[in-house]
Amino acid sequence: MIVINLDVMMAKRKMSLNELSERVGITIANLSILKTGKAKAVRLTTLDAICRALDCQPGDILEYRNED
Amino acid sequence: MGKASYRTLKIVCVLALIGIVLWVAFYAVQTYFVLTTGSGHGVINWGSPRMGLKLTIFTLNRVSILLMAGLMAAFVVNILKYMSGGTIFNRANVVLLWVMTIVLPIHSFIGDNMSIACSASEHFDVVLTDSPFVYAMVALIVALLYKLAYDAAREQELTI
Repeated sequence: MIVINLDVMMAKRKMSLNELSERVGITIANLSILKTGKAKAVRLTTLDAICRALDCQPGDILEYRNED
Repeated sequence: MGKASYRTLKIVCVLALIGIVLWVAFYAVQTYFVLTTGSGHGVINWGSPRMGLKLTIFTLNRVSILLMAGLMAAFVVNILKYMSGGTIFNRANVVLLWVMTIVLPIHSFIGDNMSIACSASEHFDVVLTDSPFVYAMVALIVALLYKLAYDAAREQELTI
């Protein structure tokens, strides 16, 4: 399964949800959906904006975990 | 959803609600005449044999009409309710359509056999036409398509 480590990166960069929402240009509600792992898909443009705002790589946010 | 689509859909929904109200009103008036005319063709023949069965069929017919009207009205109201949020697809309507898939053929079957309720004699035949099956198939297709659209809309909603 794919795990979203957005909260970890946000904590590392000491960035609040509000600030990230403003920088990325998506609503707090949608960021929460992403952060809690309820999202079905992530657009590349969204990933690009998040990586730019958090100064990180996609792999820092997305992680694959084997469920077995 | 575009402004023009929003307005058109709203007009369609309001017209549908007016249609449902007129439908129920028509049957309310018809019920009065069917019950009070006394005897003849297409009315309840009071005092004829097996009145219990005839009145049961008649009551079931009216109940199924009210049930269908209620389900359709709820469906339209749900669309109006969710439309402002930018979608016409919602979980409540998915359930309503599945219920309609069951109620609609039953309603059709009872409607086909209303001649029993209005019969003056003791003998009558149960009618089974293709209508209940056609209604069931159409309702099933509509329910499936709506469910597919709802799932797609939900997936789109959860794409960030």
